[in-house]
Amino acid sequence: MRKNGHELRRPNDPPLLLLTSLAAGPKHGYALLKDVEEFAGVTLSPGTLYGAITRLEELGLIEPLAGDERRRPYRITTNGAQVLQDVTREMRRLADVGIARLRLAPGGAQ
Amino acid sequence: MKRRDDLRRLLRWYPASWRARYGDEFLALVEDRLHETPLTLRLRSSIAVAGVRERCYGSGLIGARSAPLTQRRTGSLMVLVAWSIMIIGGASLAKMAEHFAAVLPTSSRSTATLAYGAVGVAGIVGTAFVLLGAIVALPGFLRLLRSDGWSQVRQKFSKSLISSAVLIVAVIGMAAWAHQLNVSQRNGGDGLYSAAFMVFAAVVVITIGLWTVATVAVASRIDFTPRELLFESYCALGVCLSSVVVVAATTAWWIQMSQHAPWFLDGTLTGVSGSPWSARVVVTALVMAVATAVALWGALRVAMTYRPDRVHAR
Repeated sequence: MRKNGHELRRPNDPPLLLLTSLAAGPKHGYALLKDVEEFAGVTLSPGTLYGAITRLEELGLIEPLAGDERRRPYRITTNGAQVLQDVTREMRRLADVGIARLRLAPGGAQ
Repeated sequence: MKRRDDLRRLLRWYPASWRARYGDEFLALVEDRLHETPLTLRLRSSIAVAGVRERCYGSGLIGARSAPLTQRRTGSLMVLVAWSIMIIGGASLAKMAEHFAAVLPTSSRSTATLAYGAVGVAGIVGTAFVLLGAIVALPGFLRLLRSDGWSQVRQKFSKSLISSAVLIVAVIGMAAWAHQLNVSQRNGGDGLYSAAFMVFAAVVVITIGLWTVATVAVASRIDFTPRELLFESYCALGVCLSSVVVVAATTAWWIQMSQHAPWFLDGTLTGVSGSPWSARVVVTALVMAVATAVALWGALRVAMTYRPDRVHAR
């Protein structure tokens, strides 16, 4: 799915993971890294994390908050929350279809 | 302290604007991370790769969100760089193809000659597009000079001029030397001449490379108007098309030669069985393939800026 020009397709896309993390409240880089590790089991490298932060900020999906220059927190914007909602809704729809079809398939999970 | 200096050095992979905006917090994050894991080669290389990727994003080489004008400029410059590479491949082909028509049977000569002619015509057309692009860039170049931009690129031009002077002397020297040798000696029979020719070829490649670097440095600093950039992008597409024709015609020529005179491609004597995949054929093909791939990538980046949703860039 292309939202605001950014590909948010796979559940483990770093930008999507960051939006999901920030949906719970503002965090700085290290806190984001730890949170993503905790809820998704994905360890982002610092380069990947800041690449995603850069792209998301460019797209206006997150914004920095005033604070310590070296531990600058970020928060999700209204636009970012909308994108996250659209993407997760689409993922849930696809997951529901997959689950329903698996139940219907002969020999599938009941 | 040593570790922080080490990390700061790693940040050089990132563009300056990115370092100014994110550098401090990025370093803080890596330092926090290093309490858990050491600064391994893997971590270093991942930071370096991310930095290069950021540079590519910043210059419009990759990514769908680059500013259209930046992407158009970068795409056009990629095609220019590709053409410089193609010139090297073309020069290698020209050397390899010397007197090819004389070794072909009359019946198959016309197709090979036609294909080789098409290479030449495409080369001229591509170069004409490059010159047209240079003419279009001239007003911007003058604006750059007036705004004291010369000081930023003077060193690169100086190197190019010095290399060109060396090349001119080398051309005169090699021409005088070649005049005293027969065909066999000029084509591998004289070891000293062959070694000198390799050095000469290296000087040609270096000179083309330096001029390309200087041109890219200038074009990156010129404040093009959208209209100028649009013309530049059309020229880039023309150059890319010329590159494709060069490769297609070269392939057609090679097929003819490999069918009727493979020993010619191998550099062996007339009639002796030889492989059409000699080292010089492979090197030439690789150079041309790289040039075409870069040109197509650049042209694709340019073409993406013509999409209806980005048409305002026109």
